[in-house]
Amino acid sequence: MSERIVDVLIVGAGASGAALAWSLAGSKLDVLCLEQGGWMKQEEYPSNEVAWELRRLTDFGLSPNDRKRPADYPVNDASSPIAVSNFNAVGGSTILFAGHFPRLHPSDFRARTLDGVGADWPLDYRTLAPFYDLNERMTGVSGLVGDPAYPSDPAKVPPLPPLPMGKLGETMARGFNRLGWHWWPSDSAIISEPWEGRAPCINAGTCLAGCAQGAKSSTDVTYWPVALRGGGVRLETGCRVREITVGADGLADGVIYWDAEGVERRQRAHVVVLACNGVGTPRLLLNSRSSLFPDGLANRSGLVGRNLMFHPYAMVTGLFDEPLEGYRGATGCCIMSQEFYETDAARGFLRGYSFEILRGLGPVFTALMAFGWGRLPWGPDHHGAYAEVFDRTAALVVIGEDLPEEVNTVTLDPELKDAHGVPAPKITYRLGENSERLMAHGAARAKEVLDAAGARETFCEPILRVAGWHLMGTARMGTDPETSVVNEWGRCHDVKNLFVIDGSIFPTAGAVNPTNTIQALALRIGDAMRRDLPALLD
Amino acid sequence: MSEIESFSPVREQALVAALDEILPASADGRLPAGGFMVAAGLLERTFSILPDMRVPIAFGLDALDRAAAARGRGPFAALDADERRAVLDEVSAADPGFLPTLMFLAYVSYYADPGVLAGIGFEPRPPHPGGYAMAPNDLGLLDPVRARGRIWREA
Repeated sequence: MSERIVDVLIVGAGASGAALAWSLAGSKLDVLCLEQGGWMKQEEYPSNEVAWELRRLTDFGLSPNDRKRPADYPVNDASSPIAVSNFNAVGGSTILFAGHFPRLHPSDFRARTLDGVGADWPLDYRTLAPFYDLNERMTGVSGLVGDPAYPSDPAKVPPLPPLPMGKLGETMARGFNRLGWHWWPSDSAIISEPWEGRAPCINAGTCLAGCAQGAKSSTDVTYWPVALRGGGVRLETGCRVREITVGADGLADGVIYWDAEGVERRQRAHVVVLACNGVGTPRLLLNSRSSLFPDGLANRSGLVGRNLMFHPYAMVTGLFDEPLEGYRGATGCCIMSQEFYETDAARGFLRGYSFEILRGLGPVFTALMAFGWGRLPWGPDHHGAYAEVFDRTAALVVIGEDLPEEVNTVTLDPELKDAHGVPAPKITYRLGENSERLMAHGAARAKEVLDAAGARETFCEPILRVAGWHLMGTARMGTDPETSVVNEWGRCHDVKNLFVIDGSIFPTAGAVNPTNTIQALALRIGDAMRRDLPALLD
Repeated sequence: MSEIESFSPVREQALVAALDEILPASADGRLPAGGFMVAAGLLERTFSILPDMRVPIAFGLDALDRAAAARGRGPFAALDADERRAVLDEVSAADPGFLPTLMFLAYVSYYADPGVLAGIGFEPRPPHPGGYAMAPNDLGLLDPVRARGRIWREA
C-alpha cells in the first residue's frame, strides 16, 4: 500500500489525461497518472514492414476484441450495430486515430436552444476557443486559415500549413466545386513541417496503424514528454484501476489497482480524475459501488452510462478510371466538407453531418474491400479485376451527429470480464430515427459528390461497424444534478473531488471528430485547477 | 496442433492446387500463381494471425479430395484446371463458407508478398521510413468556396 497521498490522481493517459497532466505540470500539485497500457515504440509499428496491413487484423486492429493485447479489456458490443474502437497505451486512442482535428461549431453548444433537441452545453464556443487555440499549438495542427464553416476568429490559425491533398483530394475537390458545395483542407493532428523536435509527415498512409514517423500527434509524442519534464507529474504504466474508493464523507479518497506486476495496490488522492473515454469511464464508475453509492459512483441521477453517443459513419466508395495515388498521404486527413453541417429542417432531420474524404487503400485492403463488394473473382479473371480497383478508389465517410438518448447505454456485462476478473462493459445501442434519416441523406449526397468527381461506380456501406471511435455522453455535463453527472468543470455533482474529463462529459456530439474538443475541455479544467483547485471543490 | 488442424502433405498438395486456381499466374508472367505461398510460408503467417481459419480450410481441402475421388480422378491436385474449378464449385455449393474463406486467406496472403507487390506495380518496401512524395496543393481550387462566404450559424 502506498501511503503517499497525491494531490491529483488521473486515470488514463490518452487524449484528455495527457492534456490535463501537462496543464498541471509545474503547478506545485503532486500529480500521478495511472495507465493500463504501456509506452509504444515507433520502431515496432507495422509500417516498418512490407506486410504492414496484416497487423491491422491483429495487434493493431481497431477493436479490442480483435486485438486482445494484454492492456485491452473486452467489450460486449453484440447489441450494437457499431463496435467500439479504441487503444490502450500511453496516448490512448490517439495512437490509432486518423488525426482529424476539427473544432465543434458554435451551434453545437446550443442544440436545445436552436433546434429543440439534445441539450445545451454549460459553456459556449467563445469560452472554449482559447483552449482550442492552445491545444492546436501543443498538438501542431496542420490546416488552412479562413474556413468559412467557422467563425473568423483571429486566433484560429493552424500553426502549420495543410497536408497535401494529392491527386485524390484534388479530384474530390473538383467534384465538390461542380456541385457548389463547401470543402476545405482538413485540420489535422499531423505535422506537415518539422515541429517541436518532431519530423514531418512522409505521406506513408499508415496512420490507422500508428505513426512510426512520429508525425501524427498522439499524446505520447506531444503532451506527455513535456508534462513529464515539467515537474510534479508522474506516469505509471501497466496499472489497471479496479475501482474508485470513497470515504465515510462521501468523497473519493483514491483507487485500487493492479500494478504492472499484477500486485493489487491502493493509491490515495485528494482529487481523482477519470480520463478513460466514454466507455471506460462509466465502466469504472459503475464498478465502484459502495453502500453510499449502491448504483455506482456519482450516479444518483441514474445517468452514468446513459446517453451513449457514437458518430455513426457511412462510407461511400467511388471507383475511378484513373489511378488516384490514394495510397499516398495521411489516411483520413485530406479534405472535408461541412455543406450539410447546420440544421435545415427541410431535409427531414435535425442537426447535420460532415464529410471526410479518405485516401485509397493499400494492396491487401484493396483486395478485401473488392472481395466484400463481390468484385474480385477467383480464377482467370482475377488479375484484370484487381487492376481495375487498385489505386482507383476514393471514399467519403459521412459523420453524423448522434443525438443523446437514454436507451443507448454502457452497462456492466453480467458475465464478460477482463483479465483481472473485473466486469466488462456492455454496449446497448441503436440509431434513432433522426440519425437514420440523417445518415441516409448523407450517403445519397456522398454518391452525388463521387459522381461529380468522375466515379464510374459507387459502393455504399450505410453503417460502418468497427467505427465506434468517438465515445461520448455517458457522464454528461450540465448545471442540473438531476439531468447531468458533472458540472462545466467536469466535477461530479455527487462527489465533489471526483472529475471526468473525457468524451463522457459531452452533452451532445456535434458532427466532427471530438479529440480537439475533449482536449480543449481538459485544458480548461486544468487551467482552473491550476489557478484555484479548492474553488472547484465547493 | 491437432490432426484436424495440421496440414499433411496430402492437404498441402490440395491447398497448392486450390490456390493455383483461385489465383492463377497472370498472362504477362508478372504475377505468380497462388500455390507458391504454401512453400514460401505465407499461408502459415496468415494462419498465425487468423488461427480460426485453419480448421475450416482443412475440412474444405479434405472435401476437395473426396469430391475429386468421387469423380474417379482424385486427388484434387491430380485434376486438370477445368476439373479443379468444377470441383471447387461443387464443394462450394455444399459448403458455402469454404470458398469465401479460402479466397480471403489467399488474397490477404498474396497481396502482402513483395514479389506480388512488384508485379502490380507497387514498390515492395515498407511505407516507413521512405514514405511517398506528393505534389504541392493547388489552393486555387478553393476560390469558389471562399467566394461563397460563411456557412456557419450564429449561436
